[in-house]
Amino acid sequence: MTEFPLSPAFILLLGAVLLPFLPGRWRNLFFTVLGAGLLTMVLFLPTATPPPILRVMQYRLIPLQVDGLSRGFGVVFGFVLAAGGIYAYHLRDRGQQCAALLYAAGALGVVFAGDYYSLFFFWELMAISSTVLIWARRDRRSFKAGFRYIIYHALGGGILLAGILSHIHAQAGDILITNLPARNLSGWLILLGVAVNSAIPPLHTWLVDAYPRATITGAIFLNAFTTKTAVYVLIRLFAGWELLIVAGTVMALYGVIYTVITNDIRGILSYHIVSQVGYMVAAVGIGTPLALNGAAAHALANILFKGLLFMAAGAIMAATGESRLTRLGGLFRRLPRVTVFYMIGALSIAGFPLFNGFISKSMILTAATRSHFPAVFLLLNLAAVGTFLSLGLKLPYFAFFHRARPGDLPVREIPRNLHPAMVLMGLACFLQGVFPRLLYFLLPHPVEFHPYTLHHLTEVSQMFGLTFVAFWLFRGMLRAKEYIVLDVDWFFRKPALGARRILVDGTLRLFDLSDRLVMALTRGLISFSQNPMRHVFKTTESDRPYDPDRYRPTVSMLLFGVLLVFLILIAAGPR
Amino acid sequence: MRRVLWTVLALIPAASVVVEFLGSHHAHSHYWFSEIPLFWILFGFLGGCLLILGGKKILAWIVYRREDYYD
Repeated sequence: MTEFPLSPAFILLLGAVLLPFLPGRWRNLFFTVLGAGLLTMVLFLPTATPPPILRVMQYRLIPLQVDGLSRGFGVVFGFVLAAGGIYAYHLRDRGQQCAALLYAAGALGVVFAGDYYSLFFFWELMAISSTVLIWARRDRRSFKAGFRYIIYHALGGGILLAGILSHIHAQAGDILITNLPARNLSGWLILLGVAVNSAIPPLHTWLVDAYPRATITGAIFLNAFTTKTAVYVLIRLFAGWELLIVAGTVMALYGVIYTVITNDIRGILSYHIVSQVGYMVAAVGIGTPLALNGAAAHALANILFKGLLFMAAGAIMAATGESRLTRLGGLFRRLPRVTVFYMIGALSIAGFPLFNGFISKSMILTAATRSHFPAVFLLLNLAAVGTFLSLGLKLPYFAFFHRARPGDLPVREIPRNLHPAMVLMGLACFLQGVFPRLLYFLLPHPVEFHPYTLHHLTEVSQMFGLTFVAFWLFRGMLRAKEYIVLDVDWFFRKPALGARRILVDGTLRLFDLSDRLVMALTRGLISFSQNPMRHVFKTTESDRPYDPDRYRPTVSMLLFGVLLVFLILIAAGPR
Repeated sequence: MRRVLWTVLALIPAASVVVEFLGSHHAHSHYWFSEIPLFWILFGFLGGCLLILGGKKILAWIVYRREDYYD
């Protein structure tokens, strides 16, 4: 096997190297075409042949191993890269474009990795390049959030590497990913490292902290890659680990209840990532082929509809420069098309019939029912109620429909390329909902699933219909307030403020104090040595500057001295 | 226009209730709760109320802070 493994990740790495040398608009074209080309390439990657091997030092790496699961993720990654390229077509920012390409290279590298070392390499590439998409916003809060983000991922990556190394050691040096982690320390370490990227509470704060602070275009890639590759790794390595059922269900509810009270629109979307990834994590824990199909389907559908929601939220921000619900309102008249695209995303994520979220959620819920987890089934349905409540009703009501006073909010023209990108994503959500085969062919296991049953449709329409009634009754209470919401990151951010006060401010104050002490001492010494005689003859010398002539010995003193010596010599001389 | 929308909104759950009672209960009735009549009507309404009140009255009371809290 001498053939070079031409992984999509390597193509993107090469693309990221070439991109900075292209002039202005060509970079955007290059980016988008690269995404579309990649999508096509991944679609036609052969699955059956044994994977080519890349020799690096004494290791035999497998950077390109294709099966149904990895191809599904690869296809959707390529799609979102192309759509994101169109969405960012107006942007002239080499740094962000390069970072996005590297980030996509990392995501595709993880998905197609056939060994643990390749997986880890691309995993870390994602962490570093994605941070740039947060910092590229170029304000103080983004900078700080980006720092917390990279620290979190450095720790998570370290734990992952520790787990991988001890796993490989226990397996006598076998680095193949088909070698699943066992339920021992190394397995749990790998799971912990992946749990950071899956944003399983309490390890989720990097997401809800940093994503709302990312650039408008960066958020689309952030949503698509980090958590979804983590779900991919969970499906690959941890299918059937029961703890994940509990973690996922808790996550789905934890995320959704925060969305009810969050003010920032991209903050709401970020908490919804936590909530939706909860469905996937729970499905991985259930571990049956239907559940794993559901987890993959929901991850892929999520990249599309959540990407669409982030695009619509970005359009609102581009138009108004504002992302807080308290400052928005009445945007339907100004941005009617954005409203329509937003609603497609919102109905998809809530799981409305005719949209892809309905298919993927039904798969997970059916899997829970078939494996006899009634509590999981009910609680995930409750999360769906919350999703519809906050994204389908609260956010659009207060952003688009409520308080429709024209002239309230200055609304700028948004770049024209935002619309075709949203059309692409919305169309994908709709087509997958109407023709589920478009989703099924991307899944790891063969699918025989019929979501559109009468029973299921009555269930959903009753549930959402009455959620609407509850919303209408309490809509006054749901009005956003201009506050931030604390999360478990309080437990390190607040002590960090205290630690900063002691370690940084305290040290600075100590330096300041010693500086002032030394300066005072020096000043004293200077004034003392300017005229030491002043301290001897206090009354006569008060403020006079030093005059050496005043203290020169006189002739009489000299004679007196000579006389004194003479007398001593006589007195002490021999008798 | 507005009245049409409201009517459609009311008709969909109403129609689904009718369908539920006309249709046969089979296959999916795995659990005790699916035997309760109008279960999903109750679930949607009570679930919605629970999340709104739980979020806005309890969670918000604990976690709301001024925007410059961490600065």
